[in-house]
Amino acid sequence: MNHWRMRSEHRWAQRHLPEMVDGTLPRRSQRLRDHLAICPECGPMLRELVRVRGLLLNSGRRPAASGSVVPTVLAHLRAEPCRADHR
Amino acid sequence: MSHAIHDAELVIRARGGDRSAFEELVRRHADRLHAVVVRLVDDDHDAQEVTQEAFLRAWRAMPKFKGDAQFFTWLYRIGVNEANRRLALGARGPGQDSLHEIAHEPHDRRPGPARTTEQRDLARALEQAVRALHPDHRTALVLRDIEGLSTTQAAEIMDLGEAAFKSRLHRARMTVRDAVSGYLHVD
Repeated sequence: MNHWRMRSEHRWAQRHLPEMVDGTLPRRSQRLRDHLAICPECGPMLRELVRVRGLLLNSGRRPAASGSVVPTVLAHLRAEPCRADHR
Repeated sequence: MSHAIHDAELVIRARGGDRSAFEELVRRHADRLHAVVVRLVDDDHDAQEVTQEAFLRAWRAMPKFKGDAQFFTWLYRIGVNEANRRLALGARGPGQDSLHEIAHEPHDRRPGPARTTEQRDLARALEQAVRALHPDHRTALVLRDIEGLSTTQAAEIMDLGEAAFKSRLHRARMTVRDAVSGYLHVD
C-alpha cells in the first residue's frame, strides 16, 4: 500500500475507532480490521481503549462500599411537606 | 430489573401527588443514582446529599414532568446537574477509591503478589485519571463506560446530541488511556 493510501486509511480508522471500541461498526469493520492489522499505532490504541473500557465497566458492576441510600432519601423526602398543588 | 408496576405508571400517580408511588421510584433508582453521583463528586457524604437533593427536586417538579423521557433519564439529569453544581462550588476534594477494587478484576489469572501489586497500581492510575478529567468528559465516561448506559440515554442525560456526546466520550477515553497506558501490558 502506498504512503498516501496508508495515511488516508489511517485518518479514516482514527475517526471510526470509537465505534470499534463500542462494537457498533457493522459494515465497515473489515476495512478497519485490515488497517489495524498493519498500522503500528491504531492496533495497540484500539486494544488499550477496549481494555480501559472493560476495566471501567467492571468497576461499575461492583456494589457500593456504603450501604443503601434509600432509607436516608426516604427520610429526607418525608420531611418535605405534601405538595400544595395536589392537596 | 423487571417490576410488576412500570415506572410510567408510578410516575403518573406521583405526578398526581401520590407520595407512596414516588417512594417506590426512590426504592428503584436511588442506589443506582448514588453510584453515578459518587463517581462525579468523589465523596460518599456529598454523593448522598446530592442524591437526596435530586429526589427532592424531582418530587417538587413531578407535576411538570411531561413523561416524554424515561423517568430515570430525567432523574439522572437532575442528579448530574446537582453534582456538577456542587463541584463548581468547590465542595470536597477527592475521597474514597471507588475504582480501587479493580485490583480484584476477575479475568486476570496471573499468579500471586505481582499480579496484585500491578492491579493495585493500575486501579490507582485509573482512579486518578478519571478524577482528573474535566467534569463534562468525566460525566460522559461515568454514564457510558462505568454505568453502562446507552449512548442515547447518556447523551439525553447530558442534554447533548449524540455526535457531541460521542466526541466528549472519545476524548475522555483517550485521556484515560494515555494516563494508564504504561500499566496496561496489552499484547
